[in-house]
Amino acid sequence: MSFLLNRDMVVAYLRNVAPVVGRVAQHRGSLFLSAVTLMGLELWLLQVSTPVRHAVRFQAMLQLFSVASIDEPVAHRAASIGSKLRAQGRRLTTVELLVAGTAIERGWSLVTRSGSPLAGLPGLTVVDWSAP
Amino acid sequence: MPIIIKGVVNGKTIMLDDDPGLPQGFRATLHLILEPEKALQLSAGAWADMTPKQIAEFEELMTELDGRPFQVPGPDPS
Repeated sequence: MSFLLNRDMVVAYLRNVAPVVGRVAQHRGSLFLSAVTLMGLELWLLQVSTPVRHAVRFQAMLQLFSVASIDEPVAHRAASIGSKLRAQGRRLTTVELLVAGTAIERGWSLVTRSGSPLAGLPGLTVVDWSAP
Repeated sequence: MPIIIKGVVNGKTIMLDDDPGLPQGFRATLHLILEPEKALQLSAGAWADMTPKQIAEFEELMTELDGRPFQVPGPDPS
């Protein structure tokens, strides 16, 4: 089984939330990160006020993950999800749609907190590693 | 072909295992490659010491990106 970690879980791992750290160690080798999640985190890391050591340790973490690109099938899948949600009067952000589209298209479980707006999407398996 | 020379970090200095044969003062770029176990050790809890200002900046940026509040979890006390 493969896991796509959402940003909230990546931050929890980096912030030493013990259950998340344990699960990352346990599932090493089957961990993925969306390119769009990487972009969001690097936005902060590249700010001049962010200490370089945070970026160095983040790069160390990236050696435990494979980064999933946003490709055409993911884009189609994200659009399909977004379109169906809009018809129901629900909205997700572009970043959320691309993360959900990546997980569903690749058949991966999405690791995010149970209260995430992504929880409950049809076809998406969500697991919350922050729960003890 | 990348040339890999290993060494030991001591603060801002890296003592190389082998003489690279480069001239004194030669500027080099470090690409960090870690064994998986070391990568885990270095990264787990790596942001636990974020300052309140850094947390505020991070949350502001992520909230702007998401269009909804993003909250940084506190580190476990252990």
